[in-house]
Amino acid sequence: MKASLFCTTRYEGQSKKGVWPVPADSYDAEIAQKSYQRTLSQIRLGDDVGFDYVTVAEHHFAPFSMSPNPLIFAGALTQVVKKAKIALLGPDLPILNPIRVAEEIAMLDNLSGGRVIAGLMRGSPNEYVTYNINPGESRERFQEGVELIKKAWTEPQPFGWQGRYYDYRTVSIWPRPVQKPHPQIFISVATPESGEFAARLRLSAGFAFTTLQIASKAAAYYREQANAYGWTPQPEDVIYRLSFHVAPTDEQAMEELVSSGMQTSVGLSMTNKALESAVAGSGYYGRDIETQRARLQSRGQIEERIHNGQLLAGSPETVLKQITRIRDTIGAGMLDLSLGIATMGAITNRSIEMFGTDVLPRMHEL
Amino acid sequence: MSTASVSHTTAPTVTTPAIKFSTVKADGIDIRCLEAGSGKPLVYLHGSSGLRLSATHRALASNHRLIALELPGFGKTAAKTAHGTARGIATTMAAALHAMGVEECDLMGHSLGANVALWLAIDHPTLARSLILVAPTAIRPEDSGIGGARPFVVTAHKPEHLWIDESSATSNPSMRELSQKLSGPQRDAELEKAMAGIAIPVLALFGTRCMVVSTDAAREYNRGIPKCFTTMVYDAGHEIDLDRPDAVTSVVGNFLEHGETFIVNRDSAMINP
Repeated sequence: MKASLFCTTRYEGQSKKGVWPVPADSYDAEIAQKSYQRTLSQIRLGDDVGFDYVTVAEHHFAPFSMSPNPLIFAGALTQVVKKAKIALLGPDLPILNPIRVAEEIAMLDNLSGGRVIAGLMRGSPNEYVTYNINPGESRERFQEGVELIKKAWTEPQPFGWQGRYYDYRTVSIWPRPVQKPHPQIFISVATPESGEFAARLRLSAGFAFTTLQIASKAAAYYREQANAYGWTPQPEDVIYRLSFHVAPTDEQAMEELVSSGMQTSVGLSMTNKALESAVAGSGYYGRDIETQRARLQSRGQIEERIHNGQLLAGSPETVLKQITRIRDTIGAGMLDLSLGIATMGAITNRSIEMFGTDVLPRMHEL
Repeated sequence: MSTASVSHTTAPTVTTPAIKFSTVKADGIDIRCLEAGSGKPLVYLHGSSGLRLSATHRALASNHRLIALELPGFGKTAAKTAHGTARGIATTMAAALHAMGVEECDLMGHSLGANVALWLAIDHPTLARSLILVAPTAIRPEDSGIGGARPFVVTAHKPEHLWIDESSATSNPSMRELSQKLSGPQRDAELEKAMAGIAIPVLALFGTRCMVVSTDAAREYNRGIPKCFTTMVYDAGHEIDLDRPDAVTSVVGNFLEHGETFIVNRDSAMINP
C-alpha cells in the first residue's frame, strides 16, 4: 500500500465560522503567506520521510483550504518535492474549462518528469456557486469533460469537439503528457452513476468524504461494473481519503485531537445548509441521493470517525491496524491522508514524521 | 384619447421545406432524387441504411437547395452490376448531377455515402466546393479500440430527429451485402494517395460512441487531406446527425457558411445586453 500526504493550506488566522462563502474582512496577507510556507514545509517533510505522493485539492471561498487552483500549487511542488509523486485530487472539472485542465496537467506531467496522477473531480456542492455553474448539470458536464480531456491528451492531430456542454472548433494541445497514453485518471466512484462511468472508461477509483461502510458498497459496485466491461481493477486503482494523526501513544493522539478542535468541526459542504439543500434539489447527487447526502453529513465524535474509517488516530501500531482494516474492507492500494491537526506546528510535524518513519515502511508491505 | 400600439412578440414559425421527388437518368439507371429548399446546392449521399434524412437536413434545407440522391442498389433505385466499388458509384452520381444541371455544389455524405463523396471530389475536382464526411468508413484503422466484453449502448435517436425515411427495410439482405461490398478494404492505398490531391476544405465528423468506425480514424483524414477539419460529436453513434442533430447542424452550418474559417467563433457570448 502507498500513502499520499494531503496538507490543505489552512489559513492560520481568524475568520468567521459557520458560514460559506467566508468573508475576507479579517484576511491578513502576512498570515496567508505564512500559511502557504507552512504547508510547503509540511510537504517537504512528507517527501523527506518517504510519503509516496503529496496531494493537492480544490476548494473555494474559504480559509479552510486556500487552494482554489490546485494545479498552480502543484506547479510549485514540481520544483519542491524531490521523490514523492504528485496526486492531483484534483481539479473540479464541471466548473472549469476541460481543455485548460488538460493543458495544465500535461504541463505538470512535464515539469515533474512524469510524476503526476490525475484525479478529475466533480467538486463538493458549494463549489458550483463559485463560478455560477448549475449543479444539476454537474454529472453530464463532468462525463463529457473527462472524455474530452482524454481525447486532448491522446489525439495526435487537431480535432474539433461538438459536445452538449463544450464546443471547440479545433484542439491540439502542447505540451503532451509525459506518461503514455496519459497520467492515471482517478474519479470519485461514490455514486452508482460514477461507478458505471469509471468502469466503462477504465478509470481508477477514489473515495473521499465518506465512511468505510458506504465506500465498501460503492467499491463493490465499481468492481462489478468493471468486470461487466471486461477488466478487473487492481489495488493501485483505488484511493481512499481520510484524516490521520499519529502520536507515541493512543491516549496522546486522542488528547491532541480533542484540543485541536476536531471534535466540533463541520464539513465544508454542510456549513451552508440552505445552499446544500438547494444543490440537492438540483439533481446533483444522482439517483442515490440519501446515501450521498449522508456521507457528506457524517462527522461524528472522534471515536466514531475512527470506527467509520474517516480517521486514523493513535500510536503507529494502532494506526497500522486501522490501515489494514481499510485495505481488507475496500481493497484500497493507496490512502490519501489529510492532516488531522494541520496547524499545531511541532505536533503536526511529529505526526507526519512518525507516520513516515514508523508506519509507512510496514504499510508498503501490505 | 391616445391610441397605444401594442407590439406582440411571437415565436418564430418553423417551416418545413416542401419536398419534391423525382428521378434522373444516369448510366442507364433511374436514380431516385429528393429535393427540398432553395439556394446553393447541397448534395447529400446516404449511407448503408438507405435514404434517411434527419432534422439536420431539414435545417440545412432552410437555406440550401438540398439534393439527396439514392445510391444504386438501395431503396427504389436499381442496382448496376458494373458497380463494384464506391468509386464506380461516384461516376454514376457525377453523371446524375450533370444531367440535373448541377455543375458545382457542396457535397455531403454519410458512411458509405461519404466514401462515394470522397471519390466524387477526387475524380471530379470542379464539382465540389466543399466536402462534408459524416462518419466516413473509407479508412478503418485496425486497432480502433472498439469492443470489449460489454459493448457500448448504441444511442437511440429520438423520433423527432428523423425527418424523412425512404430506406428499404433494414433486413433487406441484398442491401447489406451491397454495403459490405462497397465498404472496401480497411485501408485503401489508392484512395489515401488520391486524398492528398483534394484542394477544397473538408469537414469530417466522427461519433464518440460509434460502433462502426473509431474516432481514431479521424487522424488519418487529417493527415491525408490538406484542408481537413475533423470534429468529434460527443455521445453520437454511427448515425451522427440522427443522434445529435443540433450539434451536427451547428458545425455543418458554420462550415458551409464560412468554409475553413468556421473555426473562428462569431457567436456573441453576451449574457445580459
